[in-house]
Amino acid sequence: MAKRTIIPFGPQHPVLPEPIHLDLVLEDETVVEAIPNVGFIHRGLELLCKKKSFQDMIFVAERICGICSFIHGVGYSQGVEQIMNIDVPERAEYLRVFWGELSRIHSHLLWLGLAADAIGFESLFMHSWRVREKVLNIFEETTGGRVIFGACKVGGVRKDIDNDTLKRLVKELDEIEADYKTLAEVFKNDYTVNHRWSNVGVVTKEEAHALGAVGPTARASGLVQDLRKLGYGAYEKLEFEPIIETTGDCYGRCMVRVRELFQSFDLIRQVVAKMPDGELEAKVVGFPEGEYFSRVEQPRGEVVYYLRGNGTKFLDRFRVRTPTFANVAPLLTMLAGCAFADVPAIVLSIDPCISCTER
Amino acid sequence: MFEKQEIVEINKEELLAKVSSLSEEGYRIVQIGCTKLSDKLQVDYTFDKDDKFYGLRLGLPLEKLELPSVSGIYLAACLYENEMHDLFGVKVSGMAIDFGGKFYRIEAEAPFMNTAEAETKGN
Amino acid sequence: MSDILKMFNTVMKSLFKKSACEMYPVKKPEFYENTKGHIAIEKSKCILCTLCDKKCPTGAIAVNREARKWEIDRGKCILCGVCIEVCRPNCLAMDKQYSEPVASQKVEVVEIPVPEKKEQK
Repeated sequence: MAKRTIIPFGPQHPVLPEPIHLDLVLEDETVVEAIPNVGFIHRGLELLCKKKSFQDMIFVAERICGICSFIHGVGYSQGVEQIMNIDVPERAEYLRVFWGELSRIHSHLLWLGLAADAIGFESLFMHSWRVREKVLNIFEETTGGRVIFGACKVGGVRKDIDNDTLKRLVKELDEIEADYKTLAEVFKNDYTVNHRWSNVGVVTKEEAHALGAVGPTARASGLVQDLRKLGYGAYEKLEFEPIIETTGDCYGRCMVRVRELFQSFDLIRQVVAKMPDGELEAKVVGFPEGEYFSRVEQPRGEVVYYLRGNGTKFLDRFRVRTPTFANVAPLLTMLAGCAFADVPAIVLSIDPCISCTER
Repeated sequence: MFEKQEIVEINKEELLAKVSSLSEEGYRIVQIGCTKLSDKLQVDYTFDKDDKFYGLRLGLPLEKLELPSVSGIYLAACLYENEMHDLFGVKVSGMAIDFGGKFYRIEAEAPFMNTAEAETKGN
Repeated sequence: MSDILKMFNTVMKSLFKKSACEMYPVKKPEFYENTKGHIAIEKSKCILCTLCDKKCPTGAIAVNREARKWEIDRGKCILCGVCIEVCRPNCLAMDKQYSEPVASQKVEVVEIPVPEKKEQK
């Protein structure tokens, strides 16, 4: 029987954007099993719902994560609006989709840069983030903040974008898309990228379903699962199909994200073409009483909010189940049997957002 | 626009049988979560199939917080059950991977049940 | 061979194009109209209604009516803009210059002057 060693991975590692700890049990150079350990960033945000009123909690919900912050705000607002039976005006819903899809673009570009850096391809990392800077400039121009916007509120949105600005932004996005096309070619066809990621970290379709994988991790294994098809917000009026790959390895997960970027550009063009005129917010009267599970599609997968109100201005319970938490179980399956040098690439391929996982 | 959500109340004894039948029908597990009410602890199991939501709900008396584990049927459930143990103090027997209370590196015992901030009114 | 040279065009272009980075601090940054910097108060218009104190989600603003002082803790301010929306005489505004880093946390105190009586005509 070969000798077993235990090597700690994380919480500090050049490849990880956020701290997670894995104990890897190795036999020679092959990983036999991995034991996770989380809790370095646990802030107990769920308990804050007892101290901040339900309208102030939107600011807490936005700050659960820096990369996917706007969509956290949308999920929370949607839950409270359903409990209180508030009808959000149409223009506000379209604006939420506009900012949500831009968030998806900036999150996927950030991931593409980090994944390229994990295999050592630094110049591709710099070019991806250079393209992402232009998207962050659009955020700053329309909402005032580059990362955390403060644009969503219970009942609608807080800022407006007039129609001329929207047309100009669509032209800017056309230039960004042309810039991004050259990078997408590299990710698809480059020899090094292909070699490092093909047949590494394979998850079959049955395993992905049994372990509860969500988001691009599930879609790369062939599961048709995209919560935007539920039709919340303005998505029921937009046309798109979920993007599926069947290989189930790191290359498949990368390709799902590369193709989703093109889909997001297309969705934004549809939104701007169909945007109606109207108000930005609905009046909020009274306090929430009741409960609801609000489900939204983030760049990383499905996020579930459980909100419960009892008739006062403080919510009873605010529970968030983020997509990275659901993807930790497939991660442990992927790591069993892989080579030790592939561990950073595999850990990054599920797009770990640990501050979401531990809130 | 907002989906209809079906939540079914069950007892602790029926839990394993119901979860097995859901797994055979092809549901995937979404989350397991707890809410502390003034007279009991409410535990929610959420499942999904083809974007259709289905939930199981059971109530535990506050003096006896014990549950059987469903990680024999759904392996991913052991992560949620470890989180329940660390934050709420629920004893779950038979977990596939048992961290023994060390999954979250926190100092206080069951903070979501015991601290003053965790006080809430019942339904 | 062409598989390895996919990045060649991009790399060659970026060698000869203008750099994507700005020469900060030699070149001053340009801000957009909506850019969030810090909350500024025009003290002659303030009427000490204390609405900004009540609505601030983090408790960064404190208003003292008897001593006629308006205080803000810049470390706690999250630049959400709720105080600007509720301010009745519209004396609060969002300035574009970001607040400077400081060595220790201090609360900034502004004294609100007593309004001058209008001349009777």
